[in-house]
Amino acid sequence: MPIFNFQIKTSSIEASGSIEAKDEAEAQELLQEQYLPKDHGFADEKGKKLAQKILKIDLAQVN
Amino acid sequence: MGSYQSWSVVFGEQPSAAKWNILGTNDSAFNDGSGIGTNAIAAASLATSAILLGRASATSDFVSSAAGPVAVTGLSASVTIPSGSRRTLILASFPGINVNAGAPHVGTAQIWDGTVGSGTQLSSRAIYLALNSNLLPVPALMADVAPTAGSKTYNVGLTIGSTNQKTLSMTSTSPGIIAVYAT
Repeated sequence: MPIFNFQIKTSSIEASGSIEAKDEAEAQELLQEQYLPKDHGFADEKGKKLAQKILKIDLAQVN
Repeated sequence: MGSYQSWSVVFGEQPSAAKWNILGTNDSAFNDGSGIGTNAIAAASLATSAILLGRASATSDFVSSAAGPVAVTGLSASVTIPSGSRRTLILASFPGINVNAGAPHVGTAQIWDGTVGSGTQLSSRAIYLALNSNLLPVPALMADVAPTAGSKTYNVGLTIGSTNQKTLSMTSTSPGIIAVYAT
């Protein structure tokens, strides 16, 4: 399966590495699932700070 | 195996077979690495991902009311382990933690290979939890493993043991970090 080098930036997270995916669309989907916040059963003002959006995803297939 | 030998000819020279074969020996030495001089490879010549395989930093608080283990959003690193049986060092840290209710108790912070809770726990450190307007420190996490080559995702998890709200503090000046190195 192809490997993609990635860089992702959200409002509060920056990450880089490489991820295995069948294509670029799947890589983007996996990264969004990995780095966007999940529901931790907490929904007050602090919880709302978890809300963030992906600002940038760079992908480059390496094999 | 061999070592590099300098090679040159003068105008009109017909090199001997032995001299021609030096080129082959040099070629072989580059292929197996023995012809590469000590300290010859500058840092700038290494691939960006030759040592640091992947990293992530988070700059906003992680807030959860799950007893855990629960994955810390953002502290996740997807990497490709290179071939060659290199060991891998995973480091993670975050500035501090507090809870909003409950008796003082001890929880843990962990590094996981794969999904937090169902993957393989690689490392765990005790963390002390008590009601406190100040953050209590969290020890740095480290795991030293020898994974097989291929894709891996390492994650940070927290086990608090109560459903009281807990806040893992992470800010732009004190981010939470996970980094994965090939050693």
